[in-house]
Amino acid sequence: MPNDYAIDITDIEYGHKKGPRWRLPRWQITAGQTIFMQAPSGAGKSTLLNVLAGLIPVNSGQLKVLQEPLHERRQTAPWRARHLGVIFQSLNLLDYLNCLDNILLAAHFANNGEPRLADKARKLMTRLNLPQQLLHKKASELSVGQRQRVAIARALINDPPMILADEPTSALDQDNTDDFMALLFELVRERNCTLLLASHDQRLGGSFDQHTPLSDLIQPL
Amino acid sequence: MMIRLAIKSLISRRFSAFVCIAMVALSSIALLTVDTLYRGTQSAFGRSVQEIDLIVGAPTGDINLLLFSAFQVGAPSREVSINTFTRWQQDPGVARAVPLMLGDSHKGFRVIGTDASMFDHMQAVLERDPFAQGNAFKHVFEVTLGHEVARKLGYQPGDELILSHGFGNHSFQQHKARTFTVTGILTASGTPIDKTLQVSLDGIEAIHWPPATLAALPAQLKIGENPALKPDSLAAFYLTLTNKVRTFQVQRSINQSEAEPAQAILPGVAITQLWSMLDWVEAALLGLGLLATMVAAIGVGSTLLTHLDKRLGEFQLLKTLGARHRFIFALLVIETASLVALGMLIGVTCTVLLERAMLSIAQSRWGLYWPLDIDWLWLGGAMLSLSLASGLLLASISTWQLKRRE
Repeated sequence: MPNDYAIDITDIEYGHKKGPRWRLPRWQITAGQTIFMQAPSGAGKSTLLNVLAGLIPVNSGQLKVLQEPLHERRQTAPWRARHLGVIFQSLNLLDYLNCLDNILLAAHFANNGEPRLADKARKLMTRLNLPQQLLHKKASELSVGQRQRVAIARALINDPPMILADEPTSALDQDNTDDFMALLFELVRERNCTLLLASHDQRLGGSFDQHTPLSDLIQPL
Repeated sequence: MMIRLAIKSLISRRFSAFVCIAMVALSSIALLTVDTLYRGTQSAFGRSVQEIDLIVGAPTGDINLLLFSAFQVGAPSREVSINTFTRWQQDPGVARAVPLMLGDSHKGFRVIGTDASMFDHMQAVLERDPFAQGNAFKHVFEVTLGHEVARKLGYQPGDELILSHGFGNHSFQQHKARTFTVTGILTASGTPIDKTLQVSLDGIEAIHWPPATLAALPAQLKIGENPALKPDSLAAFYLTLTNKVRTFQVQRSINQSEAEPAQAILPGVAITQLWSMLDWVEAALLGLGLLATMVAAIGVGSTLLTHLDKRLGEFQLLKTLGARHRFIFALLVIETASLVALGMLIGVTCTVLLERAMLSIAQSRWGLYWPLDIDWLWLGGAMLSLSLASGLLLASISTWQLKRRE
């Protein structure tokens, strides 16, 4: 069922203006899958995730993400805001905003007009084992573990069909990593989200539906 | 959300924001103060010849006549006879004629020989009683003081003083034979009169008499009582006409007088000539003000652009969350424009307060007065457009820089 592909790539070439370039001949991901993309640091994980998010344009080929033909789009920002949740290694939150504003910022860009967004954010915080008081604390006052969990809440506030996560646990210790992964999986499964998580750390791969080493996907040009 | 973001972002960088605001505020103060100073000087100049329609002296240059008669700078090369003065003093078209005898001084301050019409003139300029203390001289050996002279030398009515010949402070022959009694002190007027002493024409004539003859004069000699003390010539005199329309007519008839070669000038015109000679001062002042503004602009620009490096992650995050380029551009415009607008607002407020404060001091101490005419519409427009323009400029540079770093 071709309509069910969350990611459908045919022969794309992409890269930075003055940096390495890659070719990706074929990659298809069924919606609702959880994919673990393993690669050492510097192998081009972040670049590929940026391509999938529409932040880096492809030079040739077909790139369909959630049925959206990104290779034909110039402006991808509104689409990204509505359909993707993105979690980085760090720098997920604006330090000068409180947690609630950080979460609502994602809703703002997505033009999310749902009523009671703040309540929704509060519920997500409870699900992520974060005390409610944290909502009104500045992001800079949180611990790294707390910040990454707020990042999950931020990524989920618009109920996106797909989550992209780029080394989300590399700033966390083992306990925090386990918590983070458990919570992420719980919430993703509940929502039947597609999850694409990229990491160098093999140990994270345990509960994923599918493992895809990056080196199997792309060829440097 | 955007404005909330801009405000919170600025608050999080409050130190550098404060520095930017201070730079903008200080440069606005500099620019506005330069303008006020210039206008103040101009108005003080104009005030010196207020209520004077014509200045008459022996033929010389317009500006020379203006300078020595109204500004007490320089000296007349020749004098005009008392007959010419009397002729015009008695003319029905003349409301007031103020005679001026120059050439003597007291401790570096110039002495003007004149008559009671000088105080009428001052009254007309000040629009109130020209005397802060005491009153006009009535006797030959009496003197009144300009505000500045009394303040600097600490004289009170009743004090006695000695006049000296020539304009210097030292080494000139002092007219020691007779002392003059202070009868009054003038209010500050902001004109060169503040820095002069005034005595009667008879008084000036008397001190130039040989000591022996002078000693024979009684102490309480009324002005005009001794016809021998009537001077032959004057340095210059002011004319105020009853009908201003006749000014050119009177000027022509003085300039073309058969009886004695004389020159009448319109002080306003002469001052305009003087200003046109000094227009480089305005240019220099304005240049300095603009320089201050440029320094501030570069300072603010470099501060904000330096911060850009630290904010790359922030912008990257905003883009990932789905912010369009124009959102980030608008954010930068709002941030910069609000900094500049706030700085200018503070600068203008400070300048207005400063000018108000300075004005009351200047008015009471030096009699200086200038109108604080602020064109709020113009100023508001300038503030709005300048802050928007700087915001747009800086945001353009910033987004260009960000593009380069992608």
